[in-house]
Amino acid sequence: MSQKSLIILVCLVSMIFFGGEVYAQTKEAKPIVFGVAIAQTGGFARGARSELHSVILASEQINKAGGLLGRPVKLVIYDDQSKESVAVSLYRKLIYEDKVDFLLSPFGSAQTAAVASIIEQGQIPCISPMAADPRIWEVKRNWNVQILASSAEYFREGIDLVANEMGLKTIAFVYLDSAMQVSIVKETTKYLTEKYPNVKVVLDARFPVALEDYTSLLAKAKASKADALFGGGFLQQSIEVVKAAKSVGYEPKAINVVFGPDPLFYEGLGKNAEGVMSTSGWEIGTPTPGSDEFTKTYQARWNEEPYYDMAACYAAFNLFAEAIRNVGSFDKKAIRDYLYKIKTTTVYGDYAVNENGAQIAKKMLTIQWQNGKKKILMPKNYRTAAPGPLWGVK
Amino acid sequence: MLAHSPSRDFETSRKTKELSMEMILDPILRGIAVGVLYALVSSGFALILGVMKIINLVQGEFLMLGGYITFYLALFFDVNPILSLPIVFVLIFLFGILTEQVIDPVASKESAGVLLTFGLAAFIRNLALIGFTANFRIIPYLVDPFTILGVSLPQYTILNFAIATFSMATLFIFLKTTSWGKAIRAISQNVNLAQVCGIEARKIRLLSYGLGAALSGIGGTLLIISRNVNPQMGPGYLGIMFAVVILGGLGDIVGACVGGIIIGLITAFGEFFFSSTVALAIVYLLVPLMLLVRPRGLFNRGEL
Repeated sequence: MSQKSLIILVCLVSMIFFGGEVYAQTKEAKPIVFGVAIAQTGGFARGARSELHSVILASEQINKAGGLLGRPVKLVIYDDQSKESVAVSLYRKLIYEDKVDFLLSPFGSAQTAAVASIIEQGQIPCISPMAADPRIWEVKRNWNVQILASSAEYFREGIDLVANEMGLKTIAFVYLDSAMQVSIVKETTKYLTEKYPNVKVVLDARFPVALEDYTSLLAKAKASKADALFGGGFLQQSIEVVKAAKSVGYEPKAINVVFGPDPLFYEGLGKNAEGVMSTSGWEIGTPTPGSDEFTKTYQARWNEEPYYDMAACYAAFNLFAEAIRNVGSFDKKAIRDYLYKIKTTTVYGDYAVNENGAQIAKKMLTIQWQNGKKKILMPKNYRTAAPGPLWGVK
Repeated sequence: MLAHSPSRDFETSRKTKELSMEMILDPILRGIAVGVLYALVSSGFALILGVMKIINLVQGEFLMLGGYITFYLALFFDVNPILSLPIVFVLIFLFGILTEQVIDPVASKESAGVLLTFGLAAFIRNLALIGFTANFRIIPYLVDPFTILGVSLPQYTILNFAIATFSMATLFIFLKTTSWGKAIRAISQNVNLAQVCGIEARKIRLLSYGLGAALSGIGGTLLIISRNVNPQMGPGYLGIMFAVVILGGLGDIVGACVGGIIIGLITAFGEFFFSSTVALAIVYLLVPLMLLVRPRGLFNRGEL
């Protein structure tokens, strides 16, 4: 055997042994299992795809890069049908039957609140990417941290904008009777009382999810002659509120509703979305680490532009990955402790939680639709356009 | 804290215009605008109930499909929603006839019939969820306001009113003047007697079911303009249809039309003077009340 043949033989044998070893390690490494129930049917399905798509994307990227500490990531995803009772059963199943290693909570404050105590009992580290209701973290959560800004933050920048730059004297709240929206309005009213005591809330009207005709309600808002209309619901209700305001001829100085950054908001309202403001946690171009890369990969994977819900869920999953890598093990308690102590900036923005697990670092943006594009109005240092008139009416 | 007392402020403004005509006109006009839509979608439900004696739980899905046909015609062929109406009518009519073929064998067995329509509705809904996705769809059309008697209403209200009124008037004329219409009425009153007189009950059931479905389909077109459509909307509207036909009398088409307007008015007055939640509670309180106090409906002509 020549020297050349010997070298080739050694290389081949090495490849078989070592290559095979690496292959075997990847194939045989026990996956690290993340569990989540996300609404894929029912009223939240449309909004909840943000969580579904972002979690899948993040896990695929992690696996492509070799997994976490050499172990592949596996997702166990169920459909909670937009029902709290179903979510409760599914989280019991995830914890006690599927025996997942880590959890993400479902889409929506109500769903997250419903499963919160089960997660505590199960003692599985959980990140809640889609819950804004601060009441969930009014009690101490030892295993569950929040990603979204607290509902107190949602309209804060928007209120500052209309109060300081648009001469706000009176405000009307028209909003869905659900945990998240009620909490946002309650916190906003509290903020108004503290910071702008001369501003009067002239209408505070909740509406049920089954409401068919929004025009009566918005006629009330028109009759109240409020300078600004704040509220909405989930995407569908926020569209209805704006459409009804336009169709009864109510033209306040500003309309600010939640869920406005969703592209379907503009699609559903057409030119009637022009000048409408909304609250947003993240927008394409927001200068956070990995923001551009996330935008590009999300678009490539799901063929749609991401908005802030996607960024929040993607950040949540990657925060878990960061915690596992930095802790250097899958020890649940150590990872839980890391999530409670770390102060970091994710794609979505600043992250830090208090001892209860409530988000305390994240601030929200106020955006406005102008010529079919989202412009950032607040905070002022992120501003990409001056505030424009509602529906182009000066 | 007083500066942030919304109810107090709003009460004050309410009192200042306590006797204004606007306070009465606003809910009346708004109630009629919504009521005609309820009347239209419920008349199809009442027609099927009257002829086939079956509670057709698929009715909400016809509404949804009508809306989606209009949406996709606008999306792919740029068809104006008004021009899509005849297409919606024909397509949903044909789909209704197909559906009736499935239901007919068990239509005479009350519980089985209801359960079958329940299953069919769930099947169509889930199929729609796969095909159309969970996204709700809207066509922003005629949203700008117009003012009538000092009350601002969306322009699509005129369209809804015109189309719903035209559809129901056409249905009445059809039922009153044509031989097919008279046959439908005869079957709905006494199927055995009608058959003895030579009316082919099978054909009439097919026709009635198709018509009932198509009326809801038209309602779907109006809904995608004035509200939105989504795969899961059916059961919600079915609740309204139940309230309307129970108020109007089970199977009574005229009753359904009047019932629709009354439900619209109750909703609008409830929302104007109380809240949206109270308004809906009143509407659904009417269902048991009517069944207990006047089970044959407003005109005492409904089925029991």
